[in-house]
Formats: sequence, structure tokens, C-alpha cells
Amino acid sequence: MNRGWNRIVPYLMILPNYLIFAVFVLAPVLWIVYLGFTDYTILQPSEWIGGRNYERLFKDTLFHKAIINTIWYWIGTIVPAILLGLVLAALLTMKIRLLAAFRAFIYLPGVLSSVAVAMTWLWLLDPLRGPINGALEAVGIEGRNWLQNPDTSLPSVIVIGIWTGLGYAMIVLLAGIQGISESLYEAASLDGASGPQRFRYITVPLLKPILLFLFITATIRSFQVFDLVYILTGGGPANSSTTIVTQIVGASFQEYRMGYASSMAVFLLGITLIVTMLQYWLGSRNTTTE
Amino acid sequence: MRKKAWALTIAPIAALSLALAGCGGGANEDNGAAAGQGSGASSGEQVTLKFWYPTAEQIAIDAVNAQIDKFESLHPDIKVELTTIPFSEYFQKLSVAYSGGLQPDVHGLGFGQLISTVGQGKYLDLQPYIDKDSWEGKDDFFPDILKAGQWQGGQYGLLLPEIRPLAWRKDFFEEAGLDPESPPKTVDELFELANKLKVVENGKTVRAGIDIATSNGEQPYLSLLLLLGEDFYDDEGNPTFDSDTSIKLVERMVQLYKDGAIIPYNSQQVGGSTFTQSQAAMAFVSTAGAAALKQSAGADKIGWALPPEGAAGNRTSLVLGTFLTAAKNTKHPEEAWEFLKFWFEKDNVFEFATKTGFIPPLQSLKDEYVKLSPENEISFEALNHAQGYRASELWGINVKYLRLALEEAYNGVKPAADALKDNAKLARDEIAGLK
Amino acid sequence: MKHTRTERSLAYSFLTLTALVTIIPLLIALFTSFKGDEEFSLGGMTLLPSSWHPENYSRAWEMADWGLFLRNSAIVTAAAVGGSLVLNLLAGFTFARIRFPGRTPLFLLLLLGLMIPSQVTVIPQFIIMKSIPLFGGNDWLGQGGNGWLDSYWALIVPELAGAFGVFMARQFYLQFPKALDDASYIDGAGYLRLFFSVYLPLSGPLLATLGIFKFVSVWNDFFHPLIYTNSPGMRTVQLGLQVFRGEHQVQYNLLMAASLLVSIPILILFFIFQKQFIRSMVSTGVKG
Repeated sequence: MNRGWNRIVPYLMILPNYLIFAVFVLAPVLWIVYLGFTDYTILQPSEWIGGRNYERLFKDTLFHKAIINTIWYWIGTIVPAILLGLVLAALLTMKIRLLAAFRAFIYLPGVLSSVAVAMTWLWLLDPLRGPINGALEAVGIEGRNWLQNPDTSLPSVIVIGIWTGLGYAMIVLLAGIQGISESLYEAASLDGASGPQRFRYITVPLLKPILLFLFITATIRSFQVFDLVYILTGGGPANSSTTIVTQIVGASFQEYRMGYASSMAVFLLGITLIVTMLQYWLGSRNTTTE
Repeated sequence: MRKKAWALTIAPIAALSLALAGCGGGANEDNGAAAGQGSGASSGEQVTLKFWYPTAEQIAIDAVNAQIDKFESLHPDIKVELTTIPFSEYFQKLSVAYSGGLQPDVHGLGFGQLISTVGQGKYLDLQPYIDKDSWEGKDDFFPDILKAGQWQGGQYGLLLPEIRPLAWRKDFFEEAGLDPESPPKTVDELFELANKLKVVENGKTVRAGIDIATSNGEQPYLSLLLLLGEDFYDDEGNPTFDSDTSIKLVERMVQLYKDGAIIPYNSQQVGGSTFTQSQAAMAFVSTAGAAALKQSAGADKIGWALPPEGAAGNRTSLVLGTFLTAAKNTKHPEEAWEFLKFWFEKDNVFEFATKTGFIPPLQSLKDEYVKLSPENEISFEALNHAQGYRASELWGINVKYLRLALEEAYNGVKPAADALKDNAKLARDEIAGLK
Repeated sequence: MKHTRTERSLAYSFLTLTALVTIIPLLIALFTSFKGDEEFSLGGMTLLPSSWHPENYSRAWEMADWGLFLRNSAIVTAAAVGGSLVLNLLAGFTFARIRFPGRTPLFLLLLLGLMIPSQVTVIPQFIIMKSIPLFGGNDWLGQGGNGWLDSYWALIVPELAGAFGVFMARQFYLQFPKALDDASYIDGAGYLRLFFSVYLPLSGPLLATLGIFKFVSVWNDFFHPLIYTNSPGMRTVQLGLQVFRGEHQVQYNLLMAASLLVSIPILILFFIFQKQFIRSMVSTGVKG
């Protein structure tokens, strides 16, 4: 296969995508890396200050809090969302009635923009008038001010994060599950394997590439959480729910410290890269077509 | 072979990307250089002014368009191109435009946004134009309001003010057995009444005595602090919110919260404040901010007065609002000035302000304005003793740490004194780190 | 697949519960859209409207130039989805099924693009958009004009390069056995033919899934149109929704009505995509 013309074909096949990527994504990223070494304030041209931003980052306790919060958010959302998503996706491949309706109901929330979603959750969690507190009080549990209390602000955001992440996980897994040949399941059935057994020994192993994809993309998304936090809590109170991107946006557009914000973004890039590489390495060890 | 593959693929891509990045950066200088030549634009030549205004509301957009139409008919050689941007995203978009050299000629600017960026030299100094034209607005403007847009002897913005005297719910006062026509006259009385006006059911406050935001709550705090004669940072931008007066004030506010007289909320949340949602009996709010409440609850239920007196007799109101500014690098500074001047002419600013809820900042407009609605008299009166944020690029840092201190104090993370002192120190460290 | 009775009823209950939980905010949005203005300022908040106001929908419709916004959104989204599906699938297939030098580093570099949030890269991207040579009044070096700003190009082209799409496509194509390729190579097919005649027909679920994701993400994108466009004539539906978010107060009922109206195209496409690809898969007997 690797003769003459065929040697270049792969490169040509990725070229259109890659070219656009290089210009509109890679170039800005490299620029940001550069800006991380300057004191750019948007309105003034930038001046090189070497590693000063990174020194400051090291000592910035607010940023450290944001990192910890982000990690909690990450673990707290993707583990439940992916587990539940897996179960749901498997259930949805069974031939049950109302299949299409169920699928639609679980996909649908993804259709609304994150702003509309966050606003409805604001109302749901309203301490005085929201139905969640109303329902809790009906069973005798005291309803608290979930979003405005430093102890419960992050957990509340995490629960909402699971809710939004669930639909995504399910859609991706469903696409993957449908790529598995029906005949494998039939053969297993004939051998006497039960539903859960078929799930465990056929579905999960064959889903590995898609699962890896899901883990990596869900991780990246959760590291970048911003819109949800911004509308629900603004990062507070007392920075109890601030995240890395919340800090970045604050530094860029409220303190005009784009250089510092860029160094934060590079840090984010760094840890995302490390975590992604780890997941990739762990996940690709067994796939056969590597 | 592997290593080579890496190098061969990454290097050209990196080079290409950096080259493109470099190209783009050059554009900034060019624009700046070209602007210098443009200012002598002759009259008779068609000039287009790009004007950006922060709003997404149709009423405001219509009012802006009305101003523009009138201006264009008086100045046939000047055309104004309007772009409206929602307030919450406004500065982000504006600063991106500035960074790319594509900023508008004339634009609106939030209060905090102007005063914290004025030192960067990006806005046009209007003082020379004011002097040249002997602009009568200079004397007609309320002095405190004119001053808000000044910095180091120059005039960088003209303010459309939104002022926050004291508002209260007469019906809630009645329900609490208080005289509905009698607002608190001193700060101490304010705190007292807040406790009397609260309504607590089953251990939950369902009506706050006073509307004070507990997250991102620097503005109600400032409303009170101004009455005590102080500010939260000084002219050099150093934090002063750990002063004794400030500590005592925050301790009182935290006590109010503990006593259930305040309902906690985030001032930036989309639903509005407790007062506008009829959950509080008193508030420092502007007439614009309470406009929706006027409609739903009825204007007769809302009372307006100057803020209660502080210890030294101050009755200063917090004033914020939207500035109108011109970009320093505009190619048409003369025309930009004409537009700004037009905007603040008596009839024009009156019409605009009444439609959009700003207070017309010209003293000569008093009689006309008061005629429209009784609470306008209070707003106008308040303009005589008004203060906003001082000009300082360290504004953002001070606000950040003040907010944090307030949130820590309210939520019991630390006692008020510690919260304020620790955060003031953090602010000072960060400021020192910048130099 | 055969399942026992208990398995099926467990499945039903679990699915129903989940469906309820996930649908609730949508229902709330729906109910809110029918509430009258007075319900928002008087402090009490109930689930169902106290009086139904279907005219909110026509009010919301009249408050902005929706016809224009819908058209802009439709053009941008259709182009972005169509283009990115083609490019991403091709690239994803190449990374998954063809060994070529530099494959891994190139792919990993692509992933890098996902790892920096858009709020950060907005300024460099803006400058790049502005400096595209020969467009928007620019010369060869990209100076002097607006480049792609304030045009459909700025909203469409960057969306075509999705690392997300390439990644997903690659993982999807990795699932197939090597034997599938070998069979084609023996027949003398080249890479392109392998893709178009063997893999593309099998890509139903991928196309549907990626298509929906891309559609929703571009349709609901507020940030990029905000920064890249100025003139009212280029506004998309998300920018249009801002009309209801005033500085002091939000008109929830109208905002919800408008948000739902604006989501209708997505819903329609969702149902079309869903039925199309999933049904066709079941019938060919090759699941996926």
C-alpha cells in the first residue's frame, strides 16, 4: 500500500482539516503560550516579563482553590455520568416499547442552551420558592440555600453537572454500542448468557475506544466548566465554587490581566494534557488496531 | 524514524502558525499610525462614526436610534453606524475590538470599566474640545457627575447617571406597624428598621428588612460606607476597606444577616434583587432598577428619599451608570465630539434619559424632570451629593478582595475584622507584586 | 436480543425515572413560557402558570427580527455541520485505519486544540480573522480591512476543523476488525475507495451523533457570533435571545418562549436524523 501516490494520500486526506486547525486553533494556542510570558493588558502592547506570571501562579491561593474545586467537579461529574450513561445506553438498545420516546426524552435537554438550563436550575433550587426545597420539606428535611452557601455551592453545581453530562455520555455510548454486531449478542444468548453478562463480556470490552473517547472529552469539558458556574453561583460565595476558567475570565476581563490569564490557560492546558495522556495510555493498551 | 517524524511534522506547522500570528500583530501599530493623520478631516466629506452602545433592550435601542436620526439630520455629512451589544458581554467584545485595532469611534462604557482603564490612554481627552467650544454643559452638568469622568485634569467620559438613593415599600412599612411616609433618617435608624421590617416564618426569612446582596455585594456595602464618609480604596488604589469604620460597618451588616433581616443573594444573578422581587422592604436602588417593580407593585407603594445621614452628616448616594466616550485613535475626533456634545444637549439628553431610565445630568433640567414623576425630585436632589468609583486601574483588584471579604464575613468563614484585614493584605500583596 | 421479564421491567422503571429527571427542566421552561408578566415580580413562584398566556410566543416573536436571525443561524449551521462532517470523518478514518509516518504526533497535536477554552483564545482568533488576506477589504498581507469579521466565513470556517469530531470519528473507526480493510486491499482498492465504499456506509451512527452534536453546538453558540459580528444583519438566534435579558431584569417568560421557539429546528432535525440512521442500521442486519 505504501507506494508512490499512496504515500501522500493520507496526508492529503487530513490536510483540509489540519490546515484550518493550524490557522484557527493552533496558532492562537501558541500565541497564548507566548502571552503567558508577558504582562499584556489588552489595551496596551505586551511586554516580556519572563516567568513572573508563573511565579505568581505558584503563590496564588485563589487559583489553588480553583484547581481543587475543578478537580472535585471533574471526578464528581464524570464518574456518575459515565456509569449511568453506560447503563442507560445499554438499556436503550433493548427492544422495548417506547424506545424512541425514551431516547428522545433523555437526549432533549441537550437541545437547550446552557444559559436556559442554568436559569431553570436557579429556579428549581430557589431556597424560598423552588420545588426542590418544597419537596424536601414535605418529607421533613430542611431545605437550604444550596447555591448561596459556601458548603453546598460546589456540590450543587456538581449535581447539575452530572445532569448535563448524562445526556452527552449516553449519546456517545449509544453510537458506540450500535457499532457492535448483533450476531455477537445472539451467539452469546444461545450459549446461555444473561443480559448483564452479555453487557459485561461483549459490550464493555468492544466499547473501549468509545469509552476512552468519552472519558477524555468529558474530562476536558469538565476541566473547562464555566457557563454553568457563572450563572449558578458566579464562583462564590467566598470562592467556594470558583473554577479555573472562572479565574481566567475574571483575570482577563475584570482585571485586564490577559498575560496572567494566559499563564493560567497554559497551566490548564498542561494538566489537561497530562491527564489525557494518562487516560490515553491506560486505555489504548489493549486495542488491536493500534 | 519516529523522532524525525515528530520534528518534520511539528516544525512547519509551528512555523506557519507563528508567522500568521506575527502578521496579525502588526496590524495594531498600523492602525494607530494612520489615525494620527486622519483628524484633520475636512467638513463636506462624508464621515462615518462607528458607535457602540451597551444594551439589548428594545426600548433603549429605539431611544438610541432616535438620537442618531436627529443627529444625522442636523449633520448631513456625518453618518452614525450603531452596534448594540448586551451589557453583560459588552466590555469583553469592546476590549477584543481595541486589541485588534477595530474599536469604534464613540462608545458607551460601564462606570467601573471606564475608571479602571482610563489610565491606559485609550480614550480621547475631551477637555481641549470643551475649552475650545466653551461648552455650556460644563457649568450645567452636576459637578459630582462631571467629575466622575475626569482623570488627571482631562475629561474622558460624560456620564449618563443611574443614582441610588433610598427606596422603601410603603405597604411593607404599614404591615410592620411603621409610618409609611417616614423613611429612616440616620444610618442607625436604618439598621433598626431593617430588623423591625423583617418577616420570618418557620425560621426562614421570607421578607428581608433591607436588600443587601451577600455575594458580589460591594455596591450596597459602598452605599452604606459612603454615608459614613469613607471609601474602599484611596486615590492611589490602595485598599482602605480594613479601616475601623469599615470593620464596624461590616460587623453590623453581618449581624443583620444573622438576625434574619437580609435574604442572601448574588447581585449578579439573573433574577434581580430581593427588593425588585418584592422580598425586601428597603433598598439602595435607582429608579431604573425599580422600574419593573413600579409596574408590578404599583408606583404608589414605593417611597423615595435621600439616603439616611451618616455620622458626619453625609447623605451621599452611590452613583453608577454608563459613560459615553470617544476612542483616542479615532480618525474623526471633531465629529466624535460633535456627537457627544449633541447627545448631552438639554432636549436630547432629557428625551433619552426619560426613555431609558437614566437621570438627565443637567441642573437646568430640574423643573421639567420633576414634573414627570415625584420620585424624580429625589433622584435629582441626590445628584448633588453623588459619588461613584474613583479612577484607578487597581479597581478590579480591590473589588475582588472586598467581595471575598464580605462573602467570608457573611458566611461565617471568618469574623468580619479578620476577613477584611486578611483580604486587604492580600490585595496589597498583589498590588505590590504588580510593580 | 432476548431478555427476561424482570430485566425488561427493571429497564422500564429505570428509564422512566431517568427520563423524568432529565425532562423536568425542559417542562419548567415550557410552563414558564406561558406565565404572565405579573407572576415574576410578586415573589411567589409556582410550577404551573396561574393563567395561561400563549400570546407570549407571538410577543417574543415580535420583539426581534427572528426571520433574519433564523436564516443566518440556518446558513451558518448547515454549512458548518455539512463541512465538518466531511472533513472530520475523512481525517478520523485516516488516523484510525492508515499507518503513516507522524500519525501519532499529528493526532495528539490535534487534541491540544480541545484543551484551551475559547474565552482565552478569543483575542488571537479575532486578530487572525481580521487579517485574512484578500477578504473584507484586506490586501495581500491582510492589512487595512476587516478580513472575515462580520461575515459568514468567520462563523463557519473555524467550526470545520473540530478536533472533537476527528477524535470521535477515529475512535469509532477503530472498532472495526482489520479484516475489513484487508478484504478491500486485496481487491485492489486504494485508501479513498476503502473509505467511500466500505466505511462510509457503516458510519450511520457516527454521522447521526456527530451531526447532532455539531448542530447543537453551532446553533447554540453565542460567544463566537458575539465577538465576530457587529452588524444587526449578521446576527444569529442566540444573539437575538439577548433582547430579553435586560440590565436590571430578565423577562423569563418571553425568554423561555423564545428559547423554545429557537430550539425547534434542532428538535426537528433530531427526529429526522434519529429515525434515518438507526432504522436503516437495524434493517441491514449489520448492527452499525
